[in-house]
Amino acid sequence: MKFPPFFLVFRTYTGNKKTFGFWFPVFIIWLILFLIALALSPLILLAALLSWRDGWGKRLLLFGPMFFIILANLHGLAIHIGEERKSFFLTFV
Amino acid sequence: MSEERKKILNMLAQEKITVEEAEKLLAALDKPQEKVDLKESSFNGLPKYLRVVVEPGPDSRKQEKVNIRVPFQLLRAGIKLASVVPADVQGKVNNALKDKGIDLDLSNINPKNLEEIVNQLKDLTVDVDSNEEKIHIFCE
Repeated sequence: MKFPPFFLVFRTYTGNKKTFGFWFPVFIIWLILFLIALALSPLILLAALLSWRDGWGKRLLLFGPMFFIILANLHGLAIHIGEERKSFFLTFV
Repeated sequence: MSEERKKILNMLAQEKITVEEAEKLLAALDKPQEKVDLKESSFNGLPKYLRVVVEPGPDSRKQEKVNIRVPFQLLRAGIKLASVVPADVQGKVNNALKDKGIDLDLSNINPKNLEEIVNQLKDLTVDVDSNEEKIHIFCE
């Protein structure tokens, strides 16, 4: 099973030299999101049951796992923006 | 003697091709096929990432470069999530894309279609050159 990335790596460069590097622990955010989803799960289940006939129920139930799959596939996403003198880079690991 | 060489000589014997044509074909057979091998070895199956590189053009005021690497798995997951989005919301997204000049119907894209697109993309690079900026899109 694939898990969401644990860290967001942020780096700034001046030319080719790394001037600042920071590993942000994104797993804390995932943990908070998980706890919120867990707390809201009875309400979500109830809403899904009530709206099952309209077709929204299935979507409500599927949204959680789909969102988890997106987070789990953030590994390898990398963005590098900047000029030659100054640039910043971020990626998920 | 290889099968191709025999075929060429047979065609020459049957006077289907001239001596010069046979010579050219035989010479082509002897050439090393480095280019083809390189292309085939550049991908071990399907590409993993979509790369988008935007560089400033000669007339650009900004000198910012953008280099983005998006995993195809993330795109696949995004397409799956889009399939859960209700039809009326998809319609709003389609209209917003149309306003930006992109005529795309999200409901027509499904995971199977995406696999076909990815399969075709492995040999494709898109280059957009203008005085303002240069955009290079490719897979790796």
